[in-house]
Amino acid sequence: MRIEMYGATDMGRVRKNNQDSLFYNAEMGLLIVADGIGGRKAGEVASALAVNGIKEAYLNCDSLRHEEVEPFLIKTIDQVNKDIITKGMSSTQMEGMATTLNAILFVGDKAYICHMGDSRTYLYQRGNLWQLTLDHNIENYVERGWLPDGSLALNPKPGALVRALGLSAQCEVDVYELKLQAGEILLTCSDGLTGMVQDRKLLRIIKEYEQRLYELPQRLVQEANEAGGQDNITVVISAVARS
Amino acid sequence: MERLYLIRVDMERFLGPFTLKEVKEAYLRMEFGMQDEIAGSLRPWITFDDLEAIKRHYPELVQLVQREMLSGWGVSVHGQVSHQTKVKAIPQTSPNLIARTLLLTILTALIVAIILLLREGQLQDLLLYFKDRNYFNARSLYAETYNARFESYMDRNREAINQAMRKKKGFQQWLPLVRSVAFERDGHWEGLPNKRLRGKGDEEMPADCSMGAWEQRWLASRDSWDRFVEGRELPRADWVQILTMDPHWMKLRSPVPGWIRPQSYHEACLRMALKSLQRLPQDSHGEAHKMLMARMGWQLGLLEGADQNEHFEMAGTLWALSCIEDGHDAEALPNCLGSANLRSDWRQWLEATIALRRLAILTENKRELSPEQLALFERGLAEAEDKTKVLWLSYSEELQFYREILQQNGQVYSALQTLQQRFPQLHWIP
Repeated sequence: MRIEMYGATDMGRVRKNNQDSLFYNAEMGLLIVADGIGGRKAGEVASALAVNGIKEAYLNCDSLRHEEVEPFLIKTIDQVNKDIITKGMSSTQMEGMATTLNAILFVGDKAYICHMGDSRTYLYQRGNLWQLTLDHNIENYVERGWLPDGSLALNPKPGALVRALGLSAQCEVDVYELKLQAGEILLTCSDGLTGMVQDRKLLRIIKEYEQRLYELPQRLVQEANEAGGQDNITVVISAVARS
Repeated sequence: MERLYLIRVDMERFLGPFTLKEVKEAYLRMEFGMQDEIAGSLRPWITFDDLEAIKRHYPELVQLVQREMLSGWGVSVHGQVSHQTKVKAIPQTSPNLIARTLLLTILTALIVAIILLLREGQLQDLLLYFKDRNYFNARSLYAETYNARFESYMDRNREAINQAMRKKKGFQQWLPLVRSVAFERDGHWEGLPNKRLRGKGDEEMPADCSMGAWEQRWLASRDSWDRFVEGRELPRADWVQILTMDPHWMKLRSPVPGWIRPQSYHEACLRMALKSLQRLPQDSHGEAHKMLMARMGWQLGLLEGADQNEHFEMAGTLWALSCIEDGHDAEALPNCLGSANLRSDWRQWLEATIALRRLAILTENKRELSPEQLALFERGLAEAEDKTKVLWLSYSEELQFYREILQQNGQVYSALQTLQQRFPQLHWIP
């Protein structure tokens, strides 16, 4: 199965630096998007650590069989989490730094989607769009009964993250498995895109650019900026080529 | 173009996109179950067993869920009688007075019986018996405490229990009982992944707290035990998290909803960690091994409110932690640090523990604080707010309680009542 990948990252119109990090390589079948958490120090260091840590681990590992993929990803991400915490403790400038993570590893006809935080991965197929990942924020946790109802009263920000790399020594990453079909498109992005552009609009733009995907990431970044560009914006498109 | 749906199974993998017909076929192939979720394009994820939400968001799926899925689980959804029975009409002209009196008497007796059952709290049991006989039996066997007959009943009915747990309601109903059996033994329940046994809300704790997982953790960390006890190392690891866990913190939060025995996932992990360490041979790390076991025994003892007068063989940081947790004299708490040469992270940790314990002692068994006590308390709170950031457990509720005392000008009991209302799941007032 051949995968094509295209990506873009942009500072947005408000922030003074870009705390998002990204990596994508279609040959390797790996893409990573990490969004250094705003309001915390050294978010860009945390997101870069996440991206580099996963990339290096993958480059250093031998070939993976399907049953080995999930344990490999969990172990790698756990180690990256520890590295972020350790680095954060080494200097007051970086104390408490954290990052979201959305990474996809393509193995055979399957995609393994790793997710922590509120960066997202969507699936597009034949004019349909699904958000595959669940944002790990207080609002969703309360709605699903995973946190008590009073939690929202305690934390006035419903979008505050419950899970992210660097937040806790106990790192629990969601790993989803998706069997791929020709023509499917995965959109992985930071919340700088989804906070600015509604899902319905995303779908319309993807449909419009389905035949020229190489232009799509930049087009989505432009859309987020036109809507205000309140945050850093990162977009990676991975498409399963039609044979 | 036909609508497409995606199915999320066990929050781990996706099926589809499917047409409605393909969803049905996948269900018949048992590729997903009631607890799994479905979403249409740009539409929300809904679990199949949330029929109300299905009706609201996916009315086109109602028939599938009712006819195929719910009926497959033995739930009758057919409102119509399949055949008609001929009933002789009762002549209306001469009502049978005896029959009516008899009916009235029976109805009255029934109402009286229901009232009596309600008073005794037995009606719920009766309803439960008819709803889920297995669960009724298991709960009756459990009665007040865990016992061998209950355990063997759970074992015999494992398959039926697992099947019942595939439905959301059944899962919530059975989970406390399943957890009690799992953590009485080795921390596993066959047929239920460890993550689900743990549940959400305790994600800062290890997903797997089985004895096997603990054995691996203990074996891998052996070389660090001495340095940990001597205060030269405080690694961010599961075994350290367990050993430094504050039993007062656990006690305030126990029993956690969904847990009966153990009363929380924290306690479950602690029990499994201790049990696993007890089974490991004490070789070259004998002294540290004993101290780690003693520390966990101490934590469980304090949690259970047992008499802590027995001798616990501890030293170094473990002794210091237990000494602080056991302290009842705020002035004497710094003595618990002893003269050990602690690394800065350990020192900060112990100082934060002292700061919190001091506030607890100042407010223990008091209805209100005198102006002098309040001034001391205010200084203590400022110190605790600053220092507790290094601790891994969140003391947010405790700190809110202490802030409330300040706001209420030293009225401890009134602050307790306020916090009890704010956090009804916590046990502020014994």
